[in-house]
Amino acid sequence: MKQRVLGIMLSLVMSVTMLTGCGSTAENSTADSAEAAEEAADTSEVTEELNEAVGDLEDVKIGFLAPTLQTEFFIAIDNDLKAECEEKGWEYVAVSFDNDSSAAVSSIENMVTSQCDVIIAMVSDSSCDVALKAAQEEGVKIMECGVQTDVYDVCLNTDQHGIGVEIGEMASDWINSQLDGKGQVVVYTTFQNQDMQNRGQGIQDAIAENCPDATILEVVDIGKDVTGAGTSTTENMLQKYPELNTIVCYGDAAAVESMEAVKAAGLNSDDFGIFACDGTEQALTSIADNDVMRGTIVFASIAPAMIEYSERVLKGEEFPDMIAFETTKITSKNIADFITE
Amino acid sequence: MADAFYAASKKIYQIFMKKIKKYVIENKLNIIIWLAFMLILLKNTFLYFEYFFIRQFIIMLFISLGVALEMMSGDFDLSFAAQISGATVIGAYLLKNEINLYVTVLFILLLHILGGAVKSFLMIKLKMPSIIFTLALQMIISKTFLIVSNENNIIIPDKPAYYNNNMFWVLMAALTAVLLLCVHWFLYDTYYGKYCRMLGENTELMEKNGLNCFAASLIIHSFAAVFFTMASLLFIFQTVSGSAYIGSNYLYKVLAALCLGGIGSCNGEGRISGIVAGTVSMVLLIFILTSFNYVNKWETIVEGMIILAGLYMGRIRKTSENYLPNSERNLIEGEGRDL
Repeated sequence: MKQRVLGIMLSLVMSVTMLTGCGSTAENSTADSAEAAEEAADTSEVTEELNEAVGDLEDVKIGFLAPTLQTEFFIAIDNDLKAECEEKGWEYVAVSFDNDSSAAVSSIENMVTSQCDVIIAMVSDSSCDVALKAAQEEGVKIMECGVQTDVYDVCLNTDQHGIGVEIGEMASDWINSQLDGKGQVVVYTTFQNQDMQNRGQGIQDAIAENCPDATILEVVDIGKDVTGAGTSTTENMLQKYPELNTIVCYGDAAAVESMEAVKAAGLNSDDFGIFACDGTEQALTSIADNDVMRGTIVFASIAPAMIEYSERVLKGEEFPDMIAFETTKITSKNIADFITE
Repeated sequence: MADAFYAASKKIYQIFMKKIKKYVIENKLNIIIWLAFMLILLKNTFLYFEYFFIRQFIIMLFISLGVALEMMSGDFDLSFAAQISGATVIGAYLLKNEINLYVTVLFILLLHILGGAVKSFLMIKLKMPSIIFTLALQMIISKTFLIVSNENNIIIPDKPAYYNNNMFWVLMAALTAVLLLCVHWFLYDTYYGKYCRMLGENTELMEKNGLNCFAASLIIHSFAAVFFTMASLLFIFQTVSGSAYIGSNYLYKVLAALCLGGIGSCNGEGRISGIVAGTVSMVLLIFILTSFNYVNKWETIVEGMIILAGLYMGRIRKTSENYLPNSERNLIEGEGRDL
């Protein structure tokens, strides 16, 4: 029994010693930081002026928190951010939380501890707000991207309904010019994500307004980034509605899959059109090849914008309102210019 | 008098050194990780490390303790992360609908006990291999709660302010210490604790001896359910939400922590100090990988390698000349009983 009690005591002492050991360093650091913060407050005006004069910031560390780093979209952002940071001589860390909010919270904590100056959080909802708020209180600048919650220093986002309207307008223009307004349309959306639901609603609103003679045959929930859903749903829709001539999707991934299903059914004529958003390479190539993919939307380069606003927010600028990404509609009319660029 | 004092001191020193040597041998991998962290600490300053470490450590320790109990009893559980995720969905749903916190806790506990009962039934009564049926359970639970939650996080509107409350985490740390003592008491001072390790080691022999394996397994899984409940609640408080994805990242982390801690896969082996040491190592390792931007590319590779190394070292222990089966080790005073 004595041995056991001794064992327990030893274990506890070891744990406490270790925590204290780690803690003391951090404590000193905290004290140092507090002093530094006081000094910084005194000289904040001078620093701001200096920053404006010097232009560049040094010893900056950027943390990028992504829901996944396994899709073309997020891999591109990660690579671009890394390249931008390297160019500026900044440190960079990226973490994928795989849609697990608890992993996101731990990653935010680790980023704060390893002294990130800006955390670029591409979270999906407010489940990380408490951790982001805690990070903000420790002096880390929070950049939200693709979502707007209560906690941010700068928020880069898009009006999802507006994006939907743009997709719908592209489809409407094509329906009016190619099909004399007699579009038989299926809209692919998802009800599992509020943003995509808003985008889907925007598509429907734009078609109803610009194409009064078109018929929306069905609005289908194809799920959120479910690989293969575009193919299977399109096969079903083509059987259910032989008159179908237009598919409008919330994203390029499903649109490209739909395109393959349409081609497999032998319907790839000039009178069939698919429209979506994201500007993926496959979508752009298909538009350039005059495939049934007729239009997509490209966002302004995300990573450079992230770095630019990181720099500005670190220099003391404030961005209380959401900053919208610029978008460009890509169709056969301007694809050549775009690809040349 | 002086000679007696000298002799006593020498004996204490020898016992202490023996313990230290034994600890170093048993925790080689952990010590390497701790030393690596100490070296990094010398060159870098980490802010607020202690707060974040304690939070992450406590959460992972709760899961590790639950899984370790199951593993010691022969249940190599791959469904615990899905079970915890599912519980966060239920918990967040109840709290969102303003159900009392205590009722929610009770509900989550019952859910985990039910999960444990299913696992006990499949393992003991139907003699299914745990690694296969828990894999199936993981898929069933995970997909069911994805459908139930519409793939969304269930956000609790009135945010419980526990996450940034230091007193809450102090209480959690105290509770963790108490629960560690309870596990120690359970494993080494109760029959069911001994049955737990015997179940992991040789279920057939236990049955031949007329012991009720199902009851033992049920009690062990119920005890593990307490830890899973704690983890589920902490996830809910941490994210103020519940989702079928929350906690899913802990599957390999916890298995790696247990391998680092020397918890045998389905052979009744393991010590509480090992669970604690392995968990500390994993929290530090994830922190190091994150700090130096290796986490995405290397985390799962490192965890896989740790699991393989843990299994290999377990194999070496088992084939060594001095190896004693766990049940026999219990008969020797002092062996297998220390923390």
